Amino acid sequence: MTKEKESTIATALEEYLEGRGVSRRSFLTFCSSMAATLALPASFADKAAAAIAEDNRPPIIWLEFQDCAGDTESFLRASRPTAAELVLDYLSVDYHETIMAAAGHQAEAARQKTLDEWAGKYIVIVEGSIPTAQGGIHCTIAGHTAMDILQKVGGGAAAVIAVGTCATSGGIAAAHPNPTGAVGVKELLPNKPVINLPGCPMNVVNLTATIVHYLTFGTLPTTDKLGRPLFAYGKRIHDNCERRAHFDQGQYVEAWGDAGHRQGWCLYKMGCKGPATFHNCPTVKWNDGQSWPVQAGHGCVGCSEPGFWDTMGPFYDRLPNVPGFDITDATATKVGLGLTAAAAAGFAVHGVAKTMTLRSGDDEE
Amino acid sequence: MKAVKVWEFPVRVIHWTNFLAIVGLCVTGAYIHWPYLATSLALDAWTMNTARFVHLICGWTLMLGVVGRFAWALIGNEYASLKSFFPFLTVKGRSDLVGVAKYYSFMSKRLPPNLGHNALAAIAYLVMFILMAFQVVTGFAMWAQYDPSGTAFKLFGWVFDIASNSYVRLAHYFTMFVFFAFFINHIYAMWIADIAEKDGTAGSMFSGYKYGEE
Amino acid sequence: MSKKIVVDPVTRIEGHLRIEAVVDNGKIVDAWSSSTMWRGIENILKGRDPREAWYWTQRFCGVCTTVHSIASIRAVEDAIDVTVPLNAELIRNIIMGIQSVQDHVIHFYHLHALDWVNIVGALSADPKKTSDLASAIGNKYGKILGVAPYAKNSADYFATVQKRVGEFVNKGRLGLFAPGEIWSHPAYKLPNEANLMAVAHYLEALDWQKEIIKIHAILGSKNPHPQSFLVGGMSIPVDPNSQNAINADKIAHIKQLLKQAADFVKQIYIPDLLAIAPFYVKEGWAGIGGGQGEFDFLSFGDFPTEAGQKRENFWLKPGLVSLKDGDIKLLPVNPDDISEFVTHSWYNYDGGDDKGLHPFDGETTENYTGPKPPYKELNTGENDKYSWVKAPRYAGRPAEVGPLARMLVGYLQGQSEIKGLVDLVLSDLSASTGIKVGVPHLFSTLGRTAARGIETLIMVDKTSEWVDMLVANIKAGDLRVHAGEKWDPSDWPSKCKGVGFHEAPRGMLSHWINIEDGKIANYQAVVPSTWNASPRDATGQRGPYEAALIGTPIADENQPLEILRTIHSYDPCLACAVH
Ligand code: HEM
Ligand code: HEM
Ligand code: NFV
Ligand code: SF4
Ligand code: SF4
Ligand code: F3S
Ligand SMILES: [Mg+2]
Repeated sequence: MTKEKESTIATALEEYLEGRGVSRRSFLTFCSSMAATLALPASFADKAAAAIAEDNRPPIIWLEFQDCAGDTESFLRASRPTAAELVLDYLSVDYHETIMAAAGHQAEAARQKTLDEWAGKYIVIVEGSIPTAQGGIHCTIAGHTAMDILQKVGGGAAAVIAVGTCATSGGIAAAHPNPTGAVGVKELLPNKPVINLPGCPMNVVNLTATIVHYLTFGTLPTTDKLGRPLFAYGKRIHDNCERRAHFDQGQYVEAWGDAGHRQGWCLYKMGCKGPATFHNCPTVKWNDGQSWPVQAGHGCVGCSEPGFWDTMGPFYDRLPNVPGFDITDATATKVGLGLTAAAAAGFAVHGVAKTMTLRSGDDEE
Repeated sequence: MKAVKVWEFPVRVIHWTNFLAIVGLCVTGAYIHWPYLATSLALDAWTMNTARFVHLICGWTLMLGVVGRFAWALIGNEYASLKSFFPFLTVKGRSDLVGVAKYYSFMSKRLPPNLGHNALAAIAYLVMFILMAFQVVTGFAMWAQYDPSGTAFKLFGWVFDIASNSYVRLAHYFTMFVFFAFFINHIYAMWIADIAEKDGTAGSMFSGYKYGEE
Repeated sequence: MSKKIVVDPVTRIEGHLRIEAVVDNGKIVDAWSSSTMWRGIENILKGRDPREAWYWTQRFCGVCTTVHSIASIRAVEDAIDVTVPLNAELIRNIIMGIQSVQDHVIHFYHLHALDWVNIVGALSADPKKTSDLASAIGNKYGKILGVAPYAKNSADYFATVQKRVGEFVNKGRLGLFAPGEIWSHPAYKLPNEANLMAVAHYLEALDWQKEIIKIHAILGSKNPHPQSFLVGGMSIPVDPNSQNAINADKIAHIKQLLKQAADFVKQIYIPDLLAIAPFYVKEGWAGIGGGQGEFDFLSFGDFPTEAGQKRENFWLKPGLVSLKDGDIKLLPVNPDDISEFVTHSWYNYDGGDDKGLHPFDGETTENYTGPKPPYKELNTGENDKYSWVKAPRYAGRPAEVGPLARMLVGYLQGQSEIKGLVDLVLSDLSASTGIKVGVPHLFSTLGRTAARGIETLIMVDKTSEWVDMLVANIKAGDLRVHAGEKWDPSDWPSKCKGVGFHEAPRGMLSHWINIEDGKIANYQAVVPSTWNASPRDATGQRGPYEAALIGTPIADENQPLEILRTIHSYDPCLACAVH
């Protein structure tokens, strides 16, 4: 960037911020904390500032289907920027049933207006799974099925962000036996760019970082094969865990509330799924960096992994259950030991029989 | 009967390094699955770290063993050859299989004459090699997860397209027991061939020689 | 001339609620409450480990997060008969207490306020006069509640807020507050200064709620959906000599956040509530939304303060306020008297849909008979099913649950802290309106909203007491947080069942579990919003939402704001209701 351009942006920015009662310093603090979340170089802060100064608040349509509003609540806990700043200054949240003022057909009209005026430019955020069984009767809004709404609203979007494990891979409703045929967003919008921010709920830090990435660079962040941004899902819980030294040392909690538990030892034997879970909980933590599950003495249950309800549980065993078959960690051990014992017993019996035939001498010709 | 050189040097070396690696993998794998050493013993001893390190070293060894044995199957003698693991593909092999089965069920008194692997054992070995390869692939895939943008993950990450990382662990864990069962079977088969049939099998993996007609 | 109107989606609630109502001569004469979303979690739970049911059922709802965890672990603990250590009970109380405070305040400002407060009107307010208003009520209620007036009461402050909102509005993209025409509804009656004050506090509350709920993070790792619950206790250890447990530092942090919570409730929420209410009392809203005696008021009590305490001795006492036969009676409650009907819900019962089932024998077998989407209207004929919500009944009658029910039960029992505050609020409203406001006015849309405020005020101080009790118990040397003797399901009886009750923010919650061979054989949840949002039952009795809507005036059929007022006064949560 040229010096001149830099200073124009700085002035524009200052005016912009002043109008919002935001000090330049607090704004830059926000930009650099975003940069830290995204693991970007410091020069990012300038770029972010410039992009946001242009006041191109993208219209957001937030859809809720088979959800529990946990991701909405997580959104309300945003702190950098805060939820108030997000809805007033950074985004134009044109539709969000949980917090919008209008209801009924007026709410629908507000959404339609955005679809018409911002076709191809708005962002859709989806919370909750989409039921597909019986033509979608398990979730309708204003008489339309979730499937239809997602096709219509998602179809014209610039990008879709699926928040929470329900929207990314079906979540709790899709757990065995999945009575409503619930699926995640990507399955119904295979040709759209879909960013997946799993977690139950998603951590709002990852949503704000994704949005700022989009505002700044005009592109979506790089993801893994499952559509999860690498900045948030590129590493395992276990590899960043504060209790990892205890894991390596062989120091484990053996019972809830025991001395090891009080001293923050590793929760591996209590069923922690950190070794198989990709999420940035240990580094960004939750609620403004306050804590995260392992810090509160409970194992990670793998809530950011696809279908974690079935593929990661049971929570208090080391290894997963196979739904419908009832194969657990314990049964695997039982069957495995059984197999070994059967081999031992079988061959012992065979051996005795063989020895008898040898003794009886009729083995010799 | 005369002594015949059946197992060439590479076959023997690979067999015994595989054996050592697998013992190491089972001991450390079982610890990784359920850290059984009392915490007091583990204090400041980096027990899990050590177990995982040994597991990894043995894992590399086993991988080299499996790859090396496959290569030797292409260039080694007839007893080591690839086709020796597929008795069910030939007429003689199939009749041998029936013969071995009859022998084990006391329906006949003699094993079909054979210098290499007996037909049934050959199938067991085939299965074991497949399971070794399975452990190598799933093991390296799990290992590669420490850095999903690294080379190892590029090579082995596809495993997780087939099964979730937790199921991969479960499968890797369960397979350990198949090794336990095989080990018992294997030793017994060795005993029976050596003591009952007196063909020198037990020592053959050291000496390379078995007794029989070429 | 009567006309059917539909509100779908009902917004500023949790979940998918649809109201259909018949309006005749500007008043609602009949109504149907329907939820249009089902996940089937009760069925998904079958065969799973009862020890993790709390984590699953917590996902019924992310708004009243934690409450289902509590009810679920209590159900399992009841079934396997385990006594939870006192530390764990107190930690749970603190988590529930702050949940209730935060939930109620968010409800007031972010879900309910815009029914009464005109955000666009705020732009025409005089910041100076707004400051005078805020200072006046701050001084008045500060004295009563024993707090200093709120620091941000200056004209400058209100001018800044006004400017910020003004710029937003002037850009012409109203976002959450679109479309603009909703703000010209004639039912908005506040002076613009009150509008501006409320809008400022709407924004303040948004920042505040994320701070005080950090107590959940400290005790439970995160919010929403804290993760430190265990059957038999809690996973967060207590140890003053460890950095990985609840220690003096964490307690200091909790206390500081609780003070922040209490200050906001006393300096802003309650004064705002009591400043806004009189304008709508004058409009008659203390006589609307009461339900004409069609339903009772039910609470099962909560908040133990000793290990192994009996429910009758909990801080909040159980009770039924019965309006049957026209007079108000306080009666004892019995879990056996609860049943659920599906006559008008999209389910089937094996033994026929006209009988209710007790939750221990409950069934969840879906049977959708509604219109094929896309549809304009539900089938609401006499024999039609029209909702995914079941219809719970207490002794055969519909019942409202929630803050109003709890405050009524406490009031009629003469529980001093409740009675004192209710009387105070009633006399204050009488004084500021010149209308005699009494107990009968509590049975109304405004009564519900006032009861929620009173409860918040009590709850925020109670939570501090529980923190003090926790400190005392730790000081006495008790570090236990978990009763481990029944952790292993192989030590459980091969068949057992249990129930867990909790007074959640929206009312009485119960989870019912049947366990066979260490696995869930049947799981039924009867949730506050299931009670309140219920459809009709076998005898055609309406659910509370439906009954409360009758008689509600509708000024503009195209924008039935008044429906939102009454429905919002219940703080609906449909993900909870249906699960
Ligand atoms: C006979 C062959 C092997 C056996 C019996 C074996 C056994 C085991 C067992 C029982 C576990 C514990 C699984 C769990 O409970 O989570 C394990 C973990 C593991 N194994 Fe193996 N293994 C074998 C081969 C290999 C190989 C060839 C590798 C390649 C490097 C490997 C790498 C690993 C890794 C990375 C883990 C996970 C360690 C951790 O996350 O801490 N294994 N193995
Ligand atoms: C984990 C332990 C072991 C495994 C996985 C294992 C595996 C195998 C395999 C795969 C073969 C086929 C060799 C080839 O064609 O390359 C084999 C052959 C053989 N092994 Fe082992 N082995 C184990 C332990 C032992 C032990 C302890 C002995 C010694 C008593 C032994 C003695 C032999 C002999 C004598 C043969 C040749 C048998 C024949 O004639 O077919 N093995 N083993
Ligand atoms: N109804 C309800 Fe809840 C509450 N409070 C649950 O028990 O909101 Ni989500
Ligand atoms: S992902 Fe979790 S928090 Fe989000 S809607 Fe689903 S259950 Fe709720
Ligand atoms: S607590 Fe969990 S994530 Fe942390 S080191 Fe132990 S097993 Fe790994
Ligand atoms: S359970 Fe979820 S919140 Fe983080 S620690 Fe595990 S991924
Ligand atoms: Mg239920």
